[in-house]
Amino acid sequence: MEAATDYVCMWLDFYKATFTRLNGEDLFTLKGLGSLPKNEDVAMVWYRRKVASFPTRYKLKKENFDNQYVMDRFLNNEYDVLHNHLCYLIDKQKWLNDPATEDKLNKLSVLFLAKKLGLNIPHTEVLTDKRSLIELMQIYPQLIVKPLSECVLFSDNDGAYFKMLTEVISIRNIKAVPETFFPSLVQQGINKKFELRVFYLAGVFYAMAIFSQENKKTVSDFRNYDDKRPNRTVPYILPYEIENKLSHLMTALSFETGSIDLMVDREGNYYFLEINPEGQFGMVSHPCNYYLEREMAKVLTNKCSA
Amino acid sequence: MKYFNLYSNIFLTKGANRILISDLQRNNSELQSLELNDIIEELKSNSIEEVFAFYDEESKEIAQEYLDFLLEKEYGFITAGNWDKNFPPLSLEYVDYNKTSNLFMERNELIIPIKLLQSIENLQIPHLVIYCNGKPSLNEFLKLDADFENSTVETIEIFAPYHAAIDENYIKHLSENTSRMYNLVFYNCHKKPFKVEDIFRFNLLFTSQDLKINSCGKVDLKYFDTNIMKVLEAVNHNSCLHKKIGIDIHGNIKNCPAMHNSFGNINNTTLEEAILHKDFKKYWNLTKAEIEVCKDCEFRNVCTDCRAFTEQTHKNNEGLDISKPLKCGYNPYTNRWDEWSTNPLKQKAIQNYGL
Repeated sequence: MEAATDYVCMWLDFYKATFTRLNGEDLFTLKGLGSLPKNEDVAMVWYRRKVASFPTRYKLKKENFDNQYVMDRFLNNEYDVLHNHLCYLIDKQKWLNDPATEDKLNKLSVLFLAKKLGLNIPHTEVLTDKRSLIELMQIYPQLIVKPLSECVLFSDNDGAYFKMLTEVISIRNIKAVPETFFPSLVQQGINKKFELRVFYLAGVFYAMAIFSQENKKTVSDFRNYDDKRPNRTVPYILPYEIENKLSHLMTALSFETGSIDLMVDREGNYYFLEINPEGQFGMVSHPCNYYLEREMAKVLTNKCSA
Repeated sequence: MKYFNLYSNIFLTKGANRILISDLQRNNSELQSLELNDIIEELKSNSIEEVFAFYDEESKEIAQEYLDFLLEKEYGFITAGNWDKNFPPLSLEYVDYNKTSNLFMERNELIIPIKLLQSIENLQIPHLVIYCNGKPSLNEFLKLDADFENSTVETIEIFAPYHAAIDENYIKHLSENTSRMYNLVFYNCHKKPFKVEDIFRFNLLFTSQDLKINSCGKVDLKYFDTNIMKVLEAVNHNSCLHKKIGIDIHGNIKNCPAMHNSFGNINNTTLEEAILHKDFKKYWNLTKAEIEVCKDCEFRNVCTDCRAFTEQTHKNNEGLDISKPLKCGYNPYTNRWDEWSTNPLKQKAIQNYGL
């Protein structure tokens, strides 16, 4: 179902830990609230993610695009209430990451918290008109636009998908920008040497450098994959002072685990970009041979026996 | 001063006359000269300018070409002032949560006795390979797959003789009603029953070859696979026998069904007991770096090895057979591939095995 979780479970078996795996999908066959995990039976919870997709898609009798949308949103909300109930069933301190903080994590405030703790962040603004954008361009000739929330996937009627990714704005393409627009996150473009994807687990940093600059296709966002020559991804060691500041940030957010994105510019400056507390670690673990699934199982096992 | 940094997932294996560059990220390997290896070595302890200064005008051009090649292939990157010490070497650790990873059985039928099923479950073996002598019916296939429902078995590979009942419907039915079948090979098939398309859940092959259990162990470029886990396993362990259990046609538990040494019979010994035998794992950590000839071969970390059929020329002081695989026609000292079966030096071993 989810490969990284499968491996963590195998390692938990290896360490002879007793555990229950609850998949988001399992809630669709729930046999009453009594069958949910009980606080007294649980020593430790690792929350990976909500659900990949609902096992059944519920359709309206009469097709109606708008109502279908309202319906889907309603079902998501319904699901969320049941799902969030789990966070209250089990004591807060038993969760590896505080689920409440994780749920209301705000990308923008995390950026400024990181800055307050001494980390560099790219100059960050939220703008609504072209004039301000051009003014900002006087200081930072290269700007990027990316979502304040998460990227979404659009599809057209033919089933083709359009990925929303980070876009670069400069004097060259400013023409395409409308006079006024929806409040949008605008950041200073960094002339990057490489990106860093860092998995943080209980005080230890596992970093991976991603060299995307080599390849014109992926200059602004490494998710623009190139299958033939994938970006180089190799193990990396963060400087002590960066680790130290990031530790403070993770402590401030009461996260024991998370995936942190950083960028290193041509001059060797480190920029903090964002944290994904539910972050995937398979994409760091495997190429760097870190065995993070084992480390996760170790941390969970040790915390339970402590 | 400028410095060349080799990416840590570029893995070099030095042979007698050549090197194999294995790109552990992009899953491919290529042969290169020892000269390139020397340059890479020099670039580890000297700046690019210093390395170029070692060469006279003519050779400088060649050195530049090598550097361009390394950059073009994205095998490394250049930094100014010093090497970037924040890039550590890739850990070569290889660990696995499974006690055993692979069970290779020679059997007359596909049905597996209950006691053996229980052992497979207890040992949480993920991969099964069955070489079948009999002609399995569709029901045998379905029962085999169903027997592992809710088990930790992930894949099942079957080698079975082709027979007339196997047609497109038979295979379709299998594909729709099994979940663990991974690779099916029907041997002794002189006319393919239908055109094989890539529409089934599993790989499917009809071959006219009359495969035997002792057909195994051939070492050839086409079996070499650059894959980080495979390479790391080969660096630390024996790529043929590590975490493998074999059961021969008589039920004898071995490292591989084609090997001689038995650790008990499934009629009176469980697999769990057999792997506890002090000698069961003795080959598991024998790497190619300890095997004669192979230790000088540039392919040693991508090679499949074979401990069942060897040239029978060397033993180490623990009594382990450290001879080159018999069915390997490669000579790392001449870099030539020749037919192994006609090599006069191998005839004695070939006779000993009755091949």
